[in-house]
Amino acid sequence: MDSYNEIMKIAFQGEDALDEAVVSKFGRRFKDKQILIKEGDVQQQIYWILDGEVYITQKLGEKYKVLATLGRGELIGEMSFFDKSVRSATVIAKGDVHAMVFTRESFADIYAASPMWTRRLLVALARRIRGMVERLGKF
Amino acid sequence: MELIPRFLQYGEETSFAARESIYRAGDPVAARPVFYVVAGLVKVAYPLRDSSFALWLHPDSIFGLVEPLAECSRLCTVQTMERTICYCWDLEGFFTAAGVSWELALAATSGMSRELRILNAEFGERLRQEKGGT
Repeated sequence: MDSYNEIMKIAFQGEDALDEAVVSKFGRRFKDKQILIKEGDVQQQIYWILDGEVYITQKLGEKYKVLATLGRGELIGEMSFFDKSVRSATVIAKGDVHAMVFTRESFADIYAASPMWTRRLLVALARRIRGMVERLGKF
Repeated sequence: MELIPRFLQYGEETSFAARESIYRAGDPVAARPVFYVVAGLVKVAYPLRDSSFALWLHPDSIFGLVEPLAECSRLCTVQTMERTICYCWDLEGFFTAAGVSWELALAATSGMSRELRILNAEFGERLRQEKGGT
């Protein structure tokens, strides 16, 4: 399966335009064990971790099973950001976390901060679509 | 004169009859390869080995961006299902239009994200069928 996360990371890489003003506007701090994303929710937000780590978990009965731990520079929630989908995991802060949180409504601000961000994102998406079409052509 | 969205002013209006072919898989990318559906219905068909897989695009959809960005010939066959009016841009014209309209950039990104998600799901399903022998 293709990963939106890889695509989004390419789009965000080396983004000098995301300066302190942007971080200040969109930055949020989460405390230890605070839930950022809840499994089953429909929420169009993307999280870009600036500092700290989060657990990616799935609830099994009354307990959460940790699937992965993600840290600085990682993007979370990219699949639901552009195209609504149900959250497939619960994301919990592991210690204090500083992250930028973008909603669909704040896309204009991201775009204004860096128009090149969208171009890189579209190129990365186009290459993935081409690759997937070529793979599908074998069926 | 009816006002059109500002971003469309950078494009060229073009009208297609029902069942008209816009481009076919394998075609080279034309000078104005990016389309915005203003009205009508468009079918996008991806060729498979013995069949095809189709998506339908409604007004406000964007198509034709993948190939110029991925630098390849057309990957799919696009045909109108009813009389359709589109605006088309060359690649730089599209990015100029997107530069004045974040809504256009968002529509393009959302559309391509959705397309990739649908293709991923189709690929997963076909893989599952192949492994299951059904």
